[in-house]
Amino acid sequence: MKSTKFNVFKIVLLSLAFGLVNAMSAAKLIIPITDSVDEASPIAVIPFEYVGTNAAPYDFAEVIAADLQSSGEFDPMSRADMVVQPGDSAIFNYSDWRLLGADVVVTGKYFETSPGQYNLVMDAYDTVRTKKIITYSLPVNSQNLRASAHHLSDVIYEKLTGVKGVFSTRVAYINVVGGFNNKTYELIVSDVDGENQAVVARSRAPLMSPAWSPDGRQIAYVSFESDNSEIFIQDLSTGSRRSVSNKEGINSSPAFSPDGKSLALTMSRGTGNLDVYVMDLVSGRVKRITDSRAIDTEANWSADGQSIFFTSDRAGQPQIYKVSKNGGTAKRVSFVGKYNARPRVSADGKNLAVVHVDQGAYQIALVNHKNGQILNLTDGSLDEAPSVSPNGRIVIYATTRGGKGVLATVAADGRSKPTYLPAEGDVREPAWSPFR
Amino acid sequence: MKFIKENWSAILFTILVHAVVLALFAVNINFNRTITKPAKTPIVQAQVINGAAIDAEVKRQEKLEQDKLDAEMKRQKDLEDKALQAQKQREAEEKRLAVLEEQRKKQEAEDKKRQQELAEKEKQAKLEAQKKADAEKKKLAELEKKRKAEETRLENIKKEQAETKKKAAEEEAKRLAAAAAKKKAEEEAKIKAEAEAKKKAEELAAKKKKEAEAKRLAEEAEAKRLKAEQDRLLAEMAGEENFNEAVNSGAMNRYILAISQTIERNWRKPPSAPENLKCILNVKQLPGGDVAQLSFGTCNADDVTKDSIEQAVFKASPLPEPEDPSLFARDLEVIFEPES
Repeated sequence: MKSTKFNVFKIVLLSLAFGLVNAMSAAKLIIPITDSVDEASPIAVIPFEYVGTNAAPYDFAEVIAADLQSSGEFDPMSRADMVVQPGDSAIFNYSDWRLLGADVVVTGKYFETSPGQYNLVMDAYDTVRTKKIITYSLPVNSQNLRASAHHLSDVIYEKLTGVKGVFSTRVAYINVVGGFNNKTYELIVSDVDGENQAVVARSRAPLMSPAWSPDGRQIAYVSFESDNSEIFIQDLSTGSRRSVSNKEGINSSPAFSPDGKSLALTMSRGTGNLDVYVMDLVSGRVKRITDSRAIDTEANWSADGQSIFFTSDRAGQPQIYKVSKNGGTAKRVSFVGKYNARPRVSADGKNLAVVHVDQGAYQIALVNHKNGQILNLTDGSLDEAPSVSPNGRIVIYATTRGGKGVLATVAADGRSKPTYLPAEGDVREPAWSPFR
Repeated sequence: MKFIKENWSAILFTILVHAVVLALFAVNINFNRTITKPAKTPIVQAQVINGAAIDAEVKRQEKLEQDKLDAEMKRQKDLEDKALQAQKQREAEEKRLAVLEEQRKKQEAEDKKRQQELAEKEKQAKLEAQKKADAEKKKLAELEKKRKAEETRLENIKKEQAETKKKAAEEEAKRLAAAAAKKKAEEEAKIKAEAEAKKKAEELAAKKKKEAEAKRLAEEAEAKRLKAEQDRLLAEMAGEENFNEAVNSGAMNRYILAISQTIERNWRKPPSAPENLKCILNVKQLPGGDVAQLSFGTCNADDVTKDSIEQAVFKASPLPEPEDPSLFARDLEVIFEPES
């Protein structure tokens, strides 16, 4: 009886110990994840189904797929690979699309409500988690088919990346057409994919340096139509314009403040020395904010509107400096390389897209103005005039191909190769619009 | 004239003789000079005497000469043709060599370019491999650190356990001693009672014996049950030993690394992810690695990043299996914390 009791006791102890060990082996394994991949995300945009008596009026899916592709963040499946093309979401089969390798599938359907008027419904499915992630309906008319497609691209992009899409934004740029004797300068605004071009101003004398107002309704630019340089602000919807600066000497590089109330600009005022000024757009009063003997130009406002970044060669070579919008002591912010110029502030305000000279080649780079770090974005030899997309993800710039100026875009994180925009003529100085 | 008339026959004879001698002489000369100067023979008169023969000879000579000239000209022409031919061949050869040289140069340039590209690629690959190796090394080191900490913790638990066991044994010994003393007193009382009421005792003894038997049987059954339980626990202990062995051999670290790399390969971190992202995802997996269930723990991610994290784990399913099945863990705590 004693021994039995003792055995029982031993077993209880043993069980206790085992309980502990077992609890240990059943504990959760800790799996650390510190890395991710940079590949473009596979997506399928199936041709939208049209319910109507006549032929389908527009290929929305094609425009959407091209938009997503241009972002560099998506890899749309080619139509030839879409062995299943369901028009009706009721028969949507996740495993089919999983096998085809599409993480997300976009479908759409639209029908005519009255001539030229349509109701459109777009759905997107996550084939990995097997659930519908977007349902979006939109009235469309025959006048805004392309704009609607860009809008749908924005909806998809924002849902999948968490960042606002820029497919509905625009780009202003200068195009030079005609030969040596009949050169014509055009200020053009187009969609970001280069389509839907509209001429805003046309002149036999050079046009330069387009800059958007923060509400996207006006563009400031430099014109040499009166032989001397002169800054105009033009309203895009009415086409009316006014001259804001035609002082003796140079008037150049306009830049709207984020609140739209002021314009930074460069003037020489007949002294031959370029400095940055800030103009109150209501009163027209001008305040000089740099006064070095060197060239100070190419102003661009900080995101909070309190400071101005500009190019100056006061240290012998062009570098970027920062100064209060009220003037005062300027602080140098670019240190890597002998040449950094034409700063354009990124959407988050942290970085400046600049022209950076690397071993004699003019390339686009991002300068972090807090710590001076630099990230090279392009590897051309004559890349210039960068402008950052309003979501901060893409930088557009001018470069040369076959002796002519063209526009190109590149991802702002330096991950992508340049994409060239279709252009006729000799294109330069792109400026990305704000969000509409 | 008279002399001529009187001697005409002699003169004629003389003339004839001269003529014959001259003719013979001329023929002879002709023979001797055929090779050198047949066309310039001065013997005009001979034609008077034997014009046809000499004509034939001259023609033959002329033909021979002409043939020879023709042959010479043909030879000259052949030589010229050959020279021309050779010139053409040489030019063709030179052209071919020039083309070959150009091809060779082009090939050389291409080779050089390709080699440079290859070198550059190799360099990049090496850098990439080095980076990856370093990251892996770092991760392994971290895992090792975690494992050691866990080991220390277990060691402490074991120590505590041993302490508890020792105390319990001491208490039991005390308790047993007390019980023994009590029993002895009881037995003494019992002897006294037996002496006083033996009969009753005998009856009781019989009853007790019966009860004791029943109790013994019950205890035996209980002991058997406990033995079975013990055996089961011992078997589990053997499994535990496998587990510990596997952990010590590094298989556990490799298992963890395999899972984390599989998930990383399937994770596209969206641009909206916060810079100091730290997100814990609790994952239940089935034997075989199929992901059965996900739930977020502490997480500072936005919705899009959370979606991407869920997608990554589902895309990684089935997760890799361990080398040693005893290492399989049903519950995983996946910590998304990218290095910035």
